[in-house]
Amino acid sequence: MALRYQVIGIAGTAKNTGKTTTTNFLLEQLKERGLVPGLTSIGYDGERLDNVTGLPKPRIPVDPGTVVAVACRCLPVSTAQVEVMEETDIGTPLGSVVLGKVTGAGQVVVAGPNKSSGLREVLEKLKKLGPDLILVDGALNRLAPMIETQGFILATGAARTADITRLAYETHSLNYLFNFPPASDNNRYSSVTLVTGEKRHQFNFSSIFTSGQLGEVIERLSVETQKIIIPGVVREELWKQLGKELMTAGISPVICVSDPIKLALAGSVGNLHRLFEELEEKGIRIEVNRPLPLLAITVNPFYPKYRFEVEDYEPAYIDAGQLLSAIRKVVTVPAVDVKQNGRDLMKVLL
Amino acid sequence: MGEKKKVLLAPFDPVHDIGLKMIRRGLEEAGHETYLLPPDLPAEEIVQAIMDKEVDMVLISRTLGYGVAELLSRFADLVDAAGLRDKVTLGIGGMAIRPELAAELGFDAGFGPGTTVEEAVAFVEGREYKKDDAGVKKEKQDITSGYSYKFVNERLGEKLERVVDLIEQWVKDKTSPGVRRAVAREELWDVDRWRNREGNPEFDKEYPQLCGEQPKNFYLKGELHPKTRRFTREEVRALEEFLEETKQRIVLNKVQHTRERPVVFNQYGTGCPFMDIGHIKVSEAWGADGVVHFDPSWGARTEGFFDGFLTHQEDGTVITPANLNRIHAALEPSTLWQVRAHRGLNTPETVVLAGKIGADMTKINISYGSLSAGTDPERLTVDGYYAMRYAAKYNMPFDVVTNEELAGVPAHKAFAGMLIVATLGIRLGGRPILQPLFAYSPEAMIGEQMEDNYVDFNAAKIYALKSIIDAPIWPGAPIGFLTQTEDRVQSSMTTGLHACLAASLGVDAISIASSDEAYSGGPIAVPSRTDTLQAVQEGFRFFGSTGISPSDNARKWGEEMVVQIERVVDDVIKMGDFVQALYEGVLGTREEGAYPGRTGRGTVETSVD
Repeated sequence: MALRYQVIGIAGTAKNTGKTTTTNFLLEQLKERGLVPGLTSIGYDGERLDNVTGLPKPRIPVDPGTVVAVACRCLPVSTAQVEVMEETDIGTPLGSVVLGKVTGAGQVVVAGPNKSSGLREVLEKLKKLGPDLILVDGALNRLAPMIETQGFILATGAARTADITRLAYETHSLNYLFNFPPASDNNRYSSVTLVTGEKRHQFNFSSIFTSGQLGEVIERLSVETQKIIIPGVVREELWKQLGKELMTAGISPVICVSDPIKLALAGSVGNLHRLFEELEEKGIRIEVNRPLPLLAITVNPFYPKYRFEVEDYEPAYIDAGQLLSAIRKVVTVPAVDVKQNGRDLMKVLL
Repeated sequence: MGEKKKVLLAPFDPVHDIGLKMIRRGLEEAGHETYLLPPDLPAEEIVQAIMDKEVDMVLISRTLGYGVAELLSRFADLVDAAGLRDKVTLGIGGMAIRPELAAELGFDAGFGPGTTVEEAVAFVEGREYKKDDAGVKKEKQDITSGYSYKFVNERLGEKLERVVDLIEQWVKDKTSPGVRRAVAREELWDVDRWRNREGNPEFDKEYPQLCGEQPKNFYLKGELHPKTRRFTREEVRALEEFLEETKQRIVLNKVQHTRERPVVFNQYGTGCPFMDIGHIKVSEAWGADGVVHFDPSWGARTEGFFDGFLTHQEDGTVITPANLNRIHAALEPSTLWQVRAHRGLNTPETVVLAGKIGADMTKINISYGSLSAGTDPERLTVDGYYAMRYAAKYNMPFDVVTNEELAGVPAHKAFAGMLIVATLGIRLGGRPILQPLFAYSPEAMIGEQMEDNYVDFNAAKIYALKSIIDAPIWPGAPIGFLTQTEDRVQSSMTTGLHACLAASLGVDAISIASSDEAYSGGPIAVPSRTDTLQAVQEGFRFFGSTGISPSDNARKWGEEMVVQIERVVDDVIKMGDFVQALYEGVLGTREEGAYPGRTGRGTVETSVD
């Protein structure tokens, strides 16, 4: 059975939004279809109790044949038997990453490479062990290393906010930000660049974090500016200022960012969504050099509720049905609650 | 030094940056270039600073709470998305931070509370920081070293020697069931064979015949003491897992600050050796230098020991070879371990057993044991004599406790008894440690020596003893006895202050209670154990090498005490018989609360030859 992807990520909007549950669901589905999973993580997962809240967490059961890339100190605390195939020099706070094959079923604790370059290297090595699909388990709300995958499933839910309306709007916004079209031509510059006809003006910074940097860019803008290429990240307030400047001056260039993660990391996705919609109305197009498809969304009604009187957390839930239907209304990809019915999730992979 | 690094220090917290400032000083001393950012900057500004300063490394400090993890991981993401992640190493430190969490957050290393500056510098320099270097290097201390055991007050010394002559003369042809069991344990019981489950057939045959009814029934019929049971296999497995995990994680603390003494002892004896081991590990982690084993009161009245890994449903952990062996195996190598032998029918055998299993110290006092702990004076004189000989053989110093003061015996009488026993101990080749009480004793309540303060009368005791003999002093047990209440803060405070007085007086060791010990109404709680250790540590930190100045009363009372001690010793000499002196109240009368014990009466045997 051929799958559409070789490597997908499972990212979340916060802690406890259901990344591990989604990963476990996919592992189960792959097993049912006789497919061999590969597994790694950009964080730390599979522990019994949450590192922050102290509440129990889902463990990650794996079966023989599964290939994994985990920090070496994960192996003694895993109950699964893992035969180490290769040791790497990719470091993590829990020792360097090793690649191995599960030889005895059990639970595995997964900590893997903590940055994009490390993940890239690990994925290359992991692919050589021949899995049908590699799952990259996310961590917290982290996204950056997911750029090394071919697409990702986003886990969100009450742990991000128990306010369904706000959650739906944020999910809608993320869905929007990850849907910009790919760039029409090659825009691989290592610093912020303005394109005016044949002319290229390159600045000596790749991200725009200060108003000084934005000032330099604005100074160089003219109605002839055709394209603004931004390889790095722009801070939310500075996006707003840039947008305002473009709209006031009646300049309508194409804004080319390197990938959607750079947008999502800039600040409040809701604010950015509103801004980009406004810009698009004025004819300012946004494109990405390297799209990262949002494949599906999983929702989780669970959240850790803080108890002020005893200073700890207790498990709490919002209405699962309401949550799912609110999210489904605002997104263009399948949205599922894997605890209820996750079948649609596999459809995107097959 | 290796390569010079550029390090950005960023307090992510609204205010807290002290830790980073200390690390900064360490890094600068090691020759690295540092940039300390103001607290609470947005992640983007920190990322910008990484670019501006072209640093190799970023150290972030932040206390963790819900939602904070997301802020920190967004920072790690921003560094990655800005294309800087391969150029900089990210470290995170703060409360609740552990390596697992650092991995989850996307950092390269995580440092929790207790991280040393040296550890942070090692991380920056890319050196592996050995876990053994964490915490405090502790070594087992011999608190008797450096003492000559010579009498400063030579006249009193001579008199004490004369009493010891009397005791030796008296004991010469005597023995007891306790002594015979000790001999059997000494000669027929091989600890290695026992550990290897090879059995000691001769011992197994002879020992039950030397025991009282209950231990005898145990060996012959397999009946356990009614208040004990064996641990289940699951419990043993759980204990082993707990120990393995704890030993891996434990980081030792040190209570002392600039003074090396006194070493600090904690007592344990919940009845359950598993729980005891938990308490011991906590004591060690919070800085106790030694632990003292408390056995049940019925242990003192029972002729002989049981065996097996046993838990007891009341206070006091039963002395059995297996219990002691498990507890011994749980100790950190630096922890001093005292097994008390002082008061009952198993006194000499306790010394032999504890010595074979590996105890460092024991506790013996004929006078206290027979006046306040219920054992017949005659019996305990014989047993105490042999116990001290074994203590010398096993190289175990022993303290000579004076708890009869708690019953109302005046300090000078208790001290006379203690000094007689200590002198006997020295004669037998042992290393006794004087153990005066630091307590609000009935004598002081009635005599009003503590009306104004707890300092002078306790100081007087130390002055008196130091003017008599050059020997180690270990106030106990625990210090502050009868000053503690059910209030944990009050108890910790008074324990801490008594500890500081002990330090100021230059004594060698102290025993401290937990803050709920006097009023727990059952096993004491772990937090109350750390209460007093922390209180003592804080007190030592506060006073450092300065001290507490007692008033002139202390010297005056100390001198008076010496005169009174000498009078008591004179009375014993006059009587011509130490044992008789015990019976007749020379070392404490019935009115003062000293009742010669009856347990073991009539069991001393005089050999015919």
